[in-house]
Amino acid sequence: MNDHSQLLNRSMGIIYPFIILFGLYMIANGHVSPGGGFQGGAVLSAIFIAKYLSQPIMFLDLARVQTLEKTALLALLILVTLFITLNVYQTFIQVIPYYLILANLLIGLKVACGMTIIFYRFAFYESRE
Amino acid sequence: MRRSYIGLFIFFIALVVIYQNNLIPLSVTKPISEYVIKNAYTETGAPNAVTAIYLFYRYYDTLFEALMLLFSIIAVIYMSVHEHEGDRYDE
Repeated sequence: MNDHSQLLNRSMGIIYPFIILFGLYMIANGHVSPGGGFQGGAVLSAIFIAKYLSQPIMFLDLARVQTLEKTALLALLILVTLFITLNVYQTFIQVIPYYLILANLLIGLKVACGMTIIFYRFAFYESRE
Repeated sequence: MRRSYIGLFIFFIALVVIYQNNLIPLSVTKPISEYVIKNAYTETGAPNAVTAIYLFYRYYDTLFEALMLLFSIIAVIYMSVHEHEGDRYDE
């Protein structure tokens, strides 16, 4: 994977925005169409796999990515706890779709960070050359 | 010694939970799936019933699933430190 193919570099550069768009679409429309936080997050983490395919260099601070992931999980815990305990949804049923979108966004962020960490760990720490 | 105490504690909690479960038996007259298919849209406003289930009816499942993913990532980080020993990425 160390020979930098011009073709691969260019095609991956074209693909990035479409991957981001598709992942965000899956997350934001998770409560309407098939998809959701877990699937959209896995699609978003494909950005970094494509980045690795075109330029196999370590440019991420994985500790910072893990902090972001833990923060997303904490925010998800707080959001769901507030949603259950405040009981707003029994009087205002219109709140629920916004809650679903927010929770899906947090799950997507968390899964994207997690998959990125797993991939970079296996790619840079477990590769025997 | 501390670990066996923790194990005993978890076992005790499991016994209590199983006993409580027997006290209040869940009586379901018809399959849950019928209820969800009928009422998911009117109760949550989400056309996708899967999202309605995993974020509304069964949110504990989702929370612990997310937590389990975090644990698996911690395990991957812990197991994959054979090369580049002493890097700042190693925790």
